[in-house]
Amino acid sequence: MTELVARGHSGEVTSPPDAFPERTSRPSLRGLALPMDTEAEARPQRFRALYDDHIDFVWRNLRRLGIYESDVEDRAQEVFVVAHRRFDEFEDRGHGARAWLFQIVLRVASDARRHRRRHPEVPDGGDATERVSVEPTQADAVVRHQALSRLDSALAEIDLERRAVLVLHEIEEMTAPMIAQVLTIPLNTVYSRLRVARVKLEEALARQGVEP
Amino acid sequence: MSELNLSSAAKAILEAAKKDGPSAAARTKVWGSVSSAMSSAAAASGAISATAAATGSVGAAKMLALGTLLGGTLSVGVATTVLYVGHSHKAADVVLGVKAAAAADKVAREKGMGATEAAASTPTPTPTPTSTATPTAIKHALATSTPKAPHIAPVDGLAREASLVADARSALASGDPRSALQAIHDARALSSRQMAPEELAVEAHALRALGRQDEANEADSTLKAQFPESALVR
Repeated sequence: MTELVARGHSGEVTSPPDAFPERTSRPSLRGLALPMDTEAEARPQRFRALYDDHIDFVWRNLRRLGIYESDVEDRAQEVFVVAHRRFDEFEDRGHGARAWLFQIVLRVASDARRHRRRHPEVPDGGDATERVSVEPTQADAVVRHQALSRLDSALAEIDLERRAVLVLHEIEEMTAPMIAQVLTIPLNTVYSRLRVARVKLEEALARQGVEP
Repeated sequence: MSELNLSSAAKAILEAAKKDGPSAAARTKVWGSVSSAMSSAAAASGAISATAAATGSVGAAKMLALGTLLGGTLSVGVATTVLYVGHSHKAADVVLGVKAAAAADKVAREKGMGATEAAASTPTPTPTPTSTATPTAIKHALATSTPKAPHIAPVDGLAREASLVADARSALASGDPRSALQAIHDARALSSRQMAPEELAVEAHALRALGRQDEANEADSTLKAQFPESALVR
């Protein structure tokens, strides 16, 4: 499967392809070689660096996993509060930051979905007005807004498990073995979920009038 | 795995999603909320540690106080020694110890302890080693000197501040805004403070409850001006 090889991430996230357990020792996020007296003193700075490097990653994956625009700030906060609580554990295990954060994102998104089922409310329809970390031109912003709205509507028709695989591969550019590790599922399951998710995505986009 | 290549339209949409992220304002706002939550968690953790230390000491104190009753002269000697040690502790520790002893008394009453143990919690029958020492002070001294107790003192500044803010909130909740204000003033007297937003928020509520609307508004304004990212502003 030729598509499931690692592709360089061209997004704004400055971290290296750290999607994966590539570290064996304490991380040096953003190359922080801090002249601090102790590890404990440097911890807040390392966590801040983690936040700066991955807030976009967390934000867009929360959105793609079905968190409404009106709720995404609170959920992003929730993700990082959990991450802060478990930061030592993360550092000790030496997991890749994106893999680890995605696990938290997935759990938070899943909880939010359950909460919504119990307390239904009117969705915001994927409004993207607050988004966009870079400042594109007005026309670009409109086009992107429309694209993201269509994407979120289409993704909403795919169950969360398959959607997670699709998002990790097609947007976050993770390889199948990486995804298998992040989601702790067999490699073949990754392939099958991706295949079905792609079909469903195309069908959903077609229903919205998006021509192939 | 059977191949299914996405259409170019789908790829274009997914490509747009790769650049999605929060606006600069949202990014700053979320960090403000995260750091505020982190500070609160750290403060709560400090307070819990102090409480745990106090609780451990209370258990030891009760046992020694029981010994005091039963042991007569020997216990008086122990208490005297311990009082000497107890005097070397800071005033804040004494307050905490007294609170711990009071809490222990409450627990004893609630649990309906036996006569002997209850007597240990009751001030009057406890032998007084010095003319000025009160039974509670003895209890505290015993608590602070117990070797196994994880050492009530020194309570760090943050835990002390958290405790005062918690006191202020409790006072406010129980309809005593004056005590709430006093606790906030005490917190402000601490040399290093990390819970200024929480203090301002409680102060505003307390002032409002006292009918001092202008001062309450001023506290609110200060909170908004100095900590615009705080969740308490919302």
